[in-house]
Amino acid sequence: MKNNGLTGLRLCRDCDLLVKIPSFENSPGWKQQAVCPRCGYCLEQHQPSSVLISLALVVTGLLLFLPANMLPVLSMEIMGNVRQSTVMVGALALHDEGLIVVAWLVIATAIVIPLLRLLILFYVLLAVITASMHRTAARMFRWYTHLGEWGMMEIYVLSVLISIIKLADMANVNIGYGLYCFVALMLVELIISIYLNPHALWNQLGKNHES
Amino acid sequence: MNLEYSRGIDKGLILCLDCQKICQDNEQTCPRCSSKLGRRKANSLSRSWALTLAAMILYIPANVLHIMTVSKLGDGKPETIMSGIMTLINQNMLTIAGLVFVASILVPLLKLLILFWLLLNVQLRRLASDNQIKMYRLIIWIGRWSMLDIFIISLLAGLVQYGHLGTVTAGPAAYAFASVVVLTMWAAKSFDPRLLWDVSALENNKPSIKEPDYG
Ligand SMILES: [Zn+2]
Ligand SMILES: [Zn+2]
Repeated sequence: MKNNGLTGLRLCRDCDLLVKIPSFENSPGWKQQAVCPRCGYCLEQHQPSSVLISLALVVTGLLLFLPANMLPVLSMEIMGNVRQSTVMVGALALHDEGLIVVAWLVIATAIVIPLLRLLILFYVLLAVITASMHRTAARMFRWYTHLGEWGMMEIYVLSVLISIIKLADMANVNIGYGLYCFVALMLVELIISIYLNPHALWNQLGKNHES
Repeated sequence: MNLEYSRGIDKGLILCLDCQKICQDNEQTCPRCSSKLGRRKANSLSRSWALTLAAMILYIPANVLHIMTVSKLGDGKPETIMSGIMTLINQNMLTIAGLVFVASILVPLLKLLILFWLLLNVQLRRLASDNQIKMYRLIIWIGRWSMLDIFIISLLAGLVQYGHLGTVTAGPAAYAFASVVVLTMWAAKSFDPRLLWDVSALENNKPSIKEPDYG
């Protein structure tokens, strides 16, 4: 490995300080952090996470994706008229009213980007397990981080809860099975973001094509 | 070895912002993830200024125009963001009114002001302080939550379609508001916090540094 004596060194992302960090190998504590002494940015976290468990989480997420988006999230009744809504139906209503870009924004942030991130992670973890396709996996893994803040499932869930309360005085509002799946999918994504150790994954992706 | 207390830029090292690999500054792309390398984010200042100012301008129509029209039994009542919140207060839904107020009015405004202040700080070569970096992290973290109102509108518009019994339609302010959210998120992403510290490196060659804290 061409390392130029850079082992144990980190550059701070937020202030460009060159910091020597300790090896975590001897410290058993989970979630121990090495923090930038100047700006407090977390340089590295000690987080032994297993690739197989991560993969299991990703597969769970992918399985939840279809029911979360096909089943109705909310249903509402006024004088015997029942209407059900999925995430897509809401976005398409905006589309029909001419707010096309806004509709696409909703579809992207609540549906497409969360799915894309799961698929990317699936591919990257497979690449790490099979020790192949590392170059493509590395290209894709970059997008995983870039897309992070644009996936907004948790915000969507909050908006559903607010809508329920807002509509409650107008009509009978019921929660659909889609919402339970959607919340479960959101929780899986949350657990993945806490459990995953991107540093370790990057190291494994980098190892092979350097040697 | 006195490597610990110097900047990467002085040592000829560049951090790959995508995979956090430390690269040599004669490399064009990161050897590990092939993303483009640069000492600082490209055109960080002009890009964030342009995006911030555009968002500031759009913040006005977002608050003045109608964001949705709720009609019950035929008569429609166009609402702005603020009048929607007032309706919620009148209906005694104070928690929701508070949430919507924070997500739709306070957070975008705070983001714009903080971005403006950070850019001004870099432009005027003000020394970096803990406050600045804290504010930067705050807007990165809370920025996305402004999408709340857009999601609520999409849900209401999708559900409440009962002809003359009641409908909800989205208004033009939704366009402006969604643009403000996207533009400010993009502006915060384009801003390079290292510029704040570069100023302090110019003023003072030895930044005061505590022992690293590994706790
Ligand atoms: Zn730092
Ligand atoms: Zn890289």
